[in-house]
Amino acid sequence: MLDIRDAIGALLEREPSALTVSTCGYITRDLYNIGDRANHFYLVGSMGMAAPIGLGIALAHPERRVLVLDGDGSYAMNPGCLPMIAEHRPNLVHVVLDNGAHESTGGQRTAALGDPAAMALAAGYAAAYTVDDLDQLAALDLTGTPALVRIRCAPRTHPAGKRVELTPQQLVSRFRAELATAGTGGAA
Amino acid sequence: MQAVSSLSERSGATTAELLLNALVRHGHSHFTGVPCSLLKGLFRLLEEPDCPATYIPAPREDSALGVASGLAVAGASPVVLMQNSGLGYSLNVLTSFNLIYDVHLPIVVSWRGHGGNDAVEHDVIGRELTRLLDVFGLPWTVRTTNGPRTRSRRSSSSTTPAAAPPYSSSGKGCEPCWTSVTPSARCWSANRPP
Repeated sequence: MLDIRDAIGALLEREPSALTVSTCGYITRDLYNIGDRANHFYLVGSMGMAAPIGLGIALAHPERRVLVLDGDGSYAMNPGCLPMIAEHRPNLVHVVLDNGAHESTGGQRTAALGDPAAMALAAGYAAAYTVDDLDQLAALDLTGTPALVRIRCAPRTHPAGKRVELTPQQLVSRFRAELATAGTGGAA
Repeated sequence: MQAVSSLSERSGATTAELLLNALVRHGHSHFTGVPCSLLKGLFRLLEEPDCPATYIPAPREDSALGVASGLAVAGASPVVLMQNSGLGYSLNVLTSFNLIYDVHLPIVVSWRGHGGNDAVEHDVIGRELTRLLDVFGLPWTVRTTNGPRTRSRRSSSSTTPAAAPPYSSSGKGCEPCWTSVTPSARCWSANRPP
């Protein structure tokens, strides 16, 4: 099982220009503290909405890759969005960082998840995988989308990093500026 | 867009046609939501193959609001359609996303239970609908199909005026009443507790 920071780091290395939406709590804080970039869109609330918001972004910008970082808890909150996402065939990679716990609220165990990869395939995702280490993650073929990647992670041993210091409005402004820059042939 | 524009110009256009036409003319490109029988005319138009807008059926109202919010953040112009029963599911997205990220979009909400003369499951939300919106500072406008009766309330906490719904409704239709809701803008403090 992976350290969740290593999993996020590997995903950022693999998809550096993806429009990345992170679920609230420690996953947003981990992403922010590992590397804050203009193409990151951090949720500080609305648990369960990272994937629907990612779908909306993907539909508005089909030329861009969208990376959604869910936890097992936020995934379990809204698996009903999977067929909706699949219907539109977005260029979206839906990651479930699964450490079996609601760590942001004290480590309580999550509700039963079932098999997220099997559920994603049943919902119509083009591909879905479960991986346990960085080699398996690196070997994945993520060309067909939407794709779901469940990454088995270990419980965190690191302290939670600082909260996102930008206001939500600043996050929106920065993200829109990033989209506009890319649209004029700037940063990819 | 021409197909729908022409609908409102001929006499006898339905409320659904007038509403969709107005929304599309004002640049709304994407529609998502969960159907209500009071909005069935609108959903029927959205399901037509030549509909000028993109329709994204959602399994639940909060997910509809999530998709619409993503679209709005990324520069598109979405509309959410729902029954008032779906507002309950949507409140967390409204309060912990739209209201603090200042991401505005119109929500067309049918008003089941309006006037207290509806199926029992709509009694409570029907009675409390506008009070619920007021509690969260969500500006709303009530439109009826029987005439010019219109009530509205803007959020007193708004720091910028919420956009007025860009349409009017006075056509024929079975809808007794529907409400449009626009998440209000307000300053979100950067000084949060650690």
